[in-house]
Amino acid sequence: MSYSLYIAKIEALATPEDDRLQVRVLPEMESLDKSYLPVWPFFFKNQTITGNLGDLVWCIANTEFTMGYVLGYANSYSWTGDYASSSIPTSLKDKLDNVHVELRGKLLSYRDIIVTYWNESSIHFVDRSTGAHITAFTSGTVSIVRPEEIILAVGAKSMIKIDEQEIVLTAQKVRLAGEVRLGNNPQGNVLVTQGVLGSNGLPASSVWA
Amino acid sequence: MDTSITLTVYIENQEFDINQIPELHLMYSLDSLLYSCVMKVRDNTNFIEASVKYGTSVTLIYKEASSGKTIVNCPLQVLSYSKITTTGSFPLNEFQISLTSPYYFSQKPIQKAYYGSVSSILEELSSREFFFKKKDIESSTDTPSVRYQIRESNYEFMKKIAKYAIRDATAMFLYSTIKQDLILKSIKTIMDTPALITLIPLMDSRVEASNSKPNTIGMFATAIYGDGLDISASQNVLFTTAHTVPEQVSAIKASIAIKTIIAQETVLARSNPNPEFGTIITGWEVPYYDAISQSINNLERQNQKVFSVVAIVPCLIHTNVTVGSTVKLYLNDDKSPENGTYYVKHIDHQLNDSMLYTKLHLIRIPQ
Repeated sequence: MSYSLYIAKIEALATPEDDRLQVRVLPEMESLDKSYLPVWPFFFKNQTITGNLGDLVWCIANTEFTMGYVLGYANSYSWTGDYASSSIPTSLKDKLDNVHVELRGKLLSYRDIIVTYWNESSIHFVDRSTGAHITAFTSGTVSIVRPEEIILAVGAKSMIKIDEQEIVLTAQKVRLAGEVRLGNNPQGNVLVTQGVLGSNGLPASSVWA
Repeated sequence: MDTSITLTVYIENQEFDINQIPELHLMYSLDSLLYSCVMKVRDNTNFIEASVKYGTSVTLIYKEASSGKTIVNCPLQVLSYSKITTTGSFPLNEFQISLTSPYYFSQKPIQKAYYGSVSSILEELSSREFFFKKKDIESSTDTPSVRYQIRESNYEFMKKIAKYAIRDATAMFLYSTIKQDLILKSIKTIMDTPALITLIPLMDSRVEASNSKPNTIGMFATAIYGDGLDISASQNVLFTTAHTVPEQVSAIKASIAIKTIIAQETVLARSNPNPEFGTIITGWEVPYYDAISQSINNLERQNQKVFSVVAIVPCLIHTNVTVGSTVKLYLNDDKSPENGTYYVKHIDHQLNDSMLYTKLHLIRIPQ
């Protein structure tokens, strides 16, 4: 008795009551009735995928299929050694670099990073040297959590940047809902460097008067 | 009990002269779904070479000599044969032919899934099996589970799931007989079965009275094997152990038939349990209930090594003694530690120099 790797097709999804997937091991279970197909959990504790019908997953199971686990979605493979379809496309990386305004350079350093997920419009990765966690979308949405800063950006014009000295909000419009207090007392200066006051505007000296 | 039996051998429906078969063994055992046969054949007519091939049909028919009534009609098919040519003034062509149950040849791989206990799956599966004339499948109490027959023959699949069959936490045996019966039986049921015969040494004075005790059989020879004990051969017994009181040794006479199979007997008595059941389980490779079932089955087969007896007796093919039967054994001394009840693990109905014998491999039932 030993464990082997199998490719299987997802036949039933996880539910709120049961995180396991029902799978059809291929080609071994090709013609079997669905009611006899195994229902296997994810291999690693505290991780799971809820599944998508028909998608292929890697499974590890004993040779009698009486015990098995889902390892994760199956990458595509090629007998000719062409792995282009299973690699992150250059076009995606170019797009991400283009929208990556704040980082001003290549998004992926290719130095000790772990890509946890990518698809045609996004990439999620961790930089092991710094622990930075980065999610970037081709739409321009970027989330970066680094030891020295947090950057959240949507498109090219809206961004929140937090570091030890300041929080910068950049957008065409900034709306602050509810009561706004500035400083601890609350007292302090409000600096308006641009813009013209509308009919409802107040001069800075009048904010906490 | 002393009934004369005749054996007729047909090769492709053509009767073969039994005098040209110096030795024949028709064997079956608890743990095997296939009975088998090995025979030595002398032939200078080129008949064997011309007609015996892989898959050739051979039929053994055992009849009662007096009535001509057929006792066993045992179909076989040739697995292999080898030619041994003796040289000298009278060169002789001798062949050793290995045969097995036609069930082996009827197998086709199947893709199917079943749910239930091992016995319920065997019931379902055997309902489509036409080879077996009778089915005696005892209910197993193992945990119902999905079992996959993935491109396996029924034979392979049955063997595979048999190791998970247990009944009330005791081991079960799946086997077939030379009468083409399919049987699943727990060791408890086997042990609880009343003994059919009593075996005693052939030269024992009690044999004289055996005519009035039809269920008492004199043994031509006995081999006793206890695991871990020194074995010493003697001229009169195949082998014995420290269990046997020296005085008893001389009372057990060896048959000429035995001398040809000493090596086989030793291997048989010392053989490891069925490898199917000897798989090492680490506990996480199979569901826990399968691991427990397999351990129970494995342990029972390990126990078979502890104390074994190989007995050569007159042909028993006409009796109800079969694998899974129980027999009693009594040596000359009533206090002999080997005396007791045994179950039959393996049977070899053999023809040797025109005489029919039966060899029983017995496993001691704890008293």
